[in-house]
Amino acid sequence: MSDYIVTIGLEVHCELKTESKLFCSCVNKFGGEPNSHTCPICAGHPGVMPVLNKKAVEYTVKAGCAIGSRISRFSKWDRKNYFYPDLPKAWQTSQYDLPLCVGGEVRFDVGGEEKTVRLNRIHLEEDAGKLVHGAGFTAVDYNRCGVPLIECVTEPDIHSADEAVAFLEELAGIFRYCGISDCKMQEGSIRADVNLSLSRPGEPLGTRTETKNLNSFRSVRRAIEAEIARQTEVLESGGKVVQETRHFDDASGTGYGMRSKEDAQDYRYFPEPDLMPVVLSDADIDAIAASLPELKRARRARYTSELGLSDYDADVLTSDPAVADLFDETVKLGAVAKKAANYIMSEIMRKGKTEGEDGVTVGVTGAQLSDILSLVEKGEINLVASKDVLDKIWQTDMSASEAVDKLGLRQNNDAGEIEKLVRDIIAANPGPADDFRKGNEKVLSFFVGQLMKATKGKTNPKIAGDLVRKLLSE
Amino acid sequence: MEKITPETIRHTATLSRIILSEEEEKGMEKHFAALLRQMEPLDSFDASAVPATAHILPAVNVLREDRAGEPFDREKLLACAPERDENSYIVPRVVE
Repeated sequence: MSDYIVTIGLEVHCELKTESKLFCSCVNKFGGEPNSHTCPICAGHPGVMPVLNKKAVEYTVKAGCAIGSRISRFSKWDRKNYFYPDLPKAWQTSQYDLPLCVGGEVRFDVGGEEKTVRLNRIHLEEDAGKLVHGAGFTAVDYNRCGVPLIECVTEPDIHSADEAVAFLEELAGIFRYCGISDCKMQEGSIRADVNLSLSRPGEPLGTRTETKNLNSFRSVRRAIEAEIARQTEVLESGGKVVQETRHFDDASGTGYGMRSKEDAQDYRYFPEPDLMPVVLSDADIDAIAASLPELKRARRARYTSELGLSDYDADVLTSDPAVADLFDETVKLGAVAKKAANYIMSEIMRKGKTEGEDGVTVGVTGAQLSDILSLVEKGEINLVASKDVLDKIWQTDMSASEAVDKLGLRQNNDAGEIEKLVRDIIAANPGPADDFRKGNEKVLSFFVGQLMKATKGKTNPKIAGDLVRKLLSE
Repeated sequence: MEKITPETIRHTATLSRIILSEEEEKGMEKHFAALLRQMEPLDSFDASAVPATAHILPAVNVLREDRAGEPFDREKLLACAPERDENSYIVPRVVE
């Protein structure tokens, strides 16, 4: 059974996070009342003229630069014709033979090995509307219609579900770091089509099927596994795989073929007469390339090799660009890398994560965080108190020191004052003091507890412990 | 020049969602053939040195800044639809 080679190519659709849509000034925003973000242009009324969004072109070029594509000096627009109510014009404005980005590659790790997937192209196009199917009718919402979408087409370099998911995670990470897309699965801002075929070693590629519109990494994995099993069964029983478009039903975990006519794939592309070609100079492209930040993979490598973090820590910190930026800023301001990493991974990510959402809200700056860490380091607050400080300064511009004072949390480190308190406590508890002198170490925590109580927890526990031991031994 | 066959006509009609009677198909076949004949003289023109034309106008880079404008009155758009509910366009159910 396992002697088939699985060959997969992906088409990844990713919505760009521009302010406005691709060809009109309607807001590009997820959700909203049906059809509340529409106008005659994106609702496909006759006679309207689209005008291309400059930012969308810039973002597409940025995506291409990030994965090493060749950026086209000349690219143009085409109409992809098909009848389906999610596109009111009956064509999708897309790019056919002259896309903005050609080639490129994505490197990532899977199962401890480095893997490279080549990209064929990235082109810019408009997203389609949303259909809600009811009993005997379909309701159409064009809010998403006209949202700028990049389509990234890979070469058939992927050979398993693990590789497909690892590739998608890396690609989504690259786009998030570039700031061109949120790649939010739950909002459908990144979706993938899977082209898959099986073949015997040494034989030409088998017939492929295309499973469309998978909108979570989990669905991609499940759809690939189900399709490998299905095609294997067809071939093992002497049958032939039919080239078709398939859908994957998440609820049942199975794919099914769409009963579409053979002609359906005949899109009759032709040049879009309403849009002018885009010409980019070397200077335009260089400027966009220069705006790229250090990407996820490079940062992860730097965190482990230069800052000595573990692979796990580096992975967690780079999972979200805002978190990685916070970490970099904090360390730059003098925090110890491992301590900053631990604090971010525990406190910041716990506080900034919302159930069911992909991203992390980072509510402090590097300056605020390095301030907290240095107060803890100097023993002015303890870790427990630092959480109250964090709550206080979260999403404000208050400094950590100011919050410590406002909350009255500054630890009492005045040795003279503490010493007096300890002497009083010892004098008031002669029994336990004797026990300690007779060798009962456990009593130490009783005295530290008494001291903490007397100072309302504001004593540095280490200083307290050392002092109690010293005074009891006198 | 490719020959216009009844299959070409039927395929084109299907893609255009047009239902033609047998008679209409025959008429279309003649009509299409005549159109192509008119274009035939172009075949004798040597275009090998002419770059492909992406657009008939000489302009490039007609772009706008990425700014969201005022929302358009949804009611005006929905009013044009043959069928609608309060806030959506209603079409025949497109999946089985």
